[in-house]
Amino acid sequence: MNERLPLAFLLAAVALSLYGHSMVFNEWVMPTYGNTMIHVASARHAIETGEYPMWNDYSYGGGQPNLYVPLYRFLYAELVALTGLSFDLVGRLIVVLYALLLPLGFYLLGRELAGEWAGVASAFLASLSPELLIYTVRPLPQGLGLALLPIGFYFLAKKDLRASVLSAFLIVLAHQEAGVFFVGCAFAFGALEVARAFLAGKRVFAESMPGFAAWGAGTLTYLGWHFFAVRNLDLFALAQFQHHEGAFVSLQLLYDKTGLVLLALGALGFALLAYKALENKLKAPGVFALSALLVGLFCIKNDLFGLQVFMDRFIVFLHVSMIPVAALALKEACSFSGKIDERIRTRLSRGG
Amino acid sequence: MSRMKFKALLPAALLLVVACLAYSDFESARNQALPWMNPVVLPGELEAMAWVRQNTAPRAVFVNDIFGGEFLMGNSLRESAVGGDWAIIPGVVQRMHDVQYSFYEAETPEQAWETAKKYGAKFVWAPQRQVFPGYEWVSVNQELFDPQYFRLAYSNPDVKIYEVLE
Repeated sequence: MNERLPLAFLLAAVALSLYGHSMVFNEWVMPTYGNTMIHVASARHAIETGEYPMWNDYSYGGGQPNLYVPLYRFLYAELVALTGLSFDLVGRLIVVLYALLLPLGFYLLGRELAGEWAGVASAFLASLSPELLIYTVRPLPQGLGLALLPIGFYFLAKKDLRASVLSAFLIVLAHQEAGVFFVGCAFAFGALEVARAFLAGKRVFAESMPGFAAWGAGTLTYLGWHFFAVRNLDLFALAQFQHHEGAFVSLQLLYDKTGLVLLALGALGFALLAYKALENKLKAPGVFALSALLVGLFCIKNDLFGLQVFMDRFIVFLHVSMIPVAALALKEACSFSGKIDERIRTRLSRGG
Repeated sequence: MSRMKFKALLPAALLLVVACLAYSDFESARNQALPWMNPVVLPGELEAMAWVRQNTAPRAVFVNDIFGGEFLMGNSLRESAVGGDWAIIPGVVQRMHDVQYSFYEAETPEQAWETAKKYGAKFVWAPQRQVFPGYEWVSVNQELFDPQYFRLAYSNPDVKIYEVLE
């Protein structure tokens, strides 16, 4: 097979992602849904005054510390300062950056899980999630978090300790929910790796270290930022927790926000991973993928565990877990159908 | 038929089915994302920013809805009684409730004026579109802007800006 074929398909997946995100140029102004402009305010303030408005946010009449994690706003301000372009155009170009990063990140993650073609499939499947498009087609920190997550997951699945810790640091400072999801997945990965190493007679500490290190780095980074901003660590005092922001996730809602292909292949991939786990045949990337799926499911049903916050908002993070697993399922399904072909051919040749 | 061609038949058929379904999902994803591109705010609201910059103090507070307020802060570095990150704002629900029901849906100009004063607002943003202060979409009731309480300071076809009188 031509070795350049996967690359050609990957480029096609990137083109599809760019086409999907091109709607960001539809209107006379960049999208405003989802609080896009509050981040512009902080970035603009930094450029016009030379200071970040750390102790006097613009929100709700001002006067409060700027708790929102700052990486996206710093990036925004830097891009405007470096290019001299308008905030509006830079916002739209940030969306183009997300459109490029997403298929590339999912390609790396899918390839790590199940090989080259699974990586390519993963890059394509990334364009099917309505939620992923909705959150990355607007210039938002969510988009940055979502674009960085597959790359961070790739490093975790590879057990690259330094890159995993760095990813945790960046993702947590890019977007709170993405950070929570990343550290949750890192912790679950570490925990499942403890079990796998124990059963396989391997060194438990070495096998679980990357997951736990990323979890620790991400958690400490956020707690440090939170304390720096508001001088307390009372996370549950936030309005999102106090008012239980978010909607319950039903199967119908999950289907509507996921689509048939991703949901069906994701479920099949989950079953395959679970079967392999029970057979104790999973390698580290598979263990990671299973960990991320379990954390995603926990997050969308966190109301069952007494949290009841952002359940529907976590569907998009579940999709980040599902996409490479769905690609794995597609690869396995193709392989299985190839074997059926082989059997039919054998029977026909015997009969003939 | 050669062995290779025959062996690829079922996987190829499978990929074709998945691709057809995926195309439908991709279109569905785009259709679901399109409404999020609606800017809500009007071109005249952006045009008004130049006046805001020249005629109001930095970080002056406006009564505005969430979309208009965030658009205002992002473009002019002024503030809005509602809009932004609500995570650590004291009394944030009461604030949204007041701007919704005691300002934009106030029963009298005096009630609207008192609400504006309560939140330290110097100006009011009154766009020619529906506004969303936190609970529901409503039209701006221009009858609230009685000259006894509010002075028209700026106007274009898309937005009026009123000064809150002392």
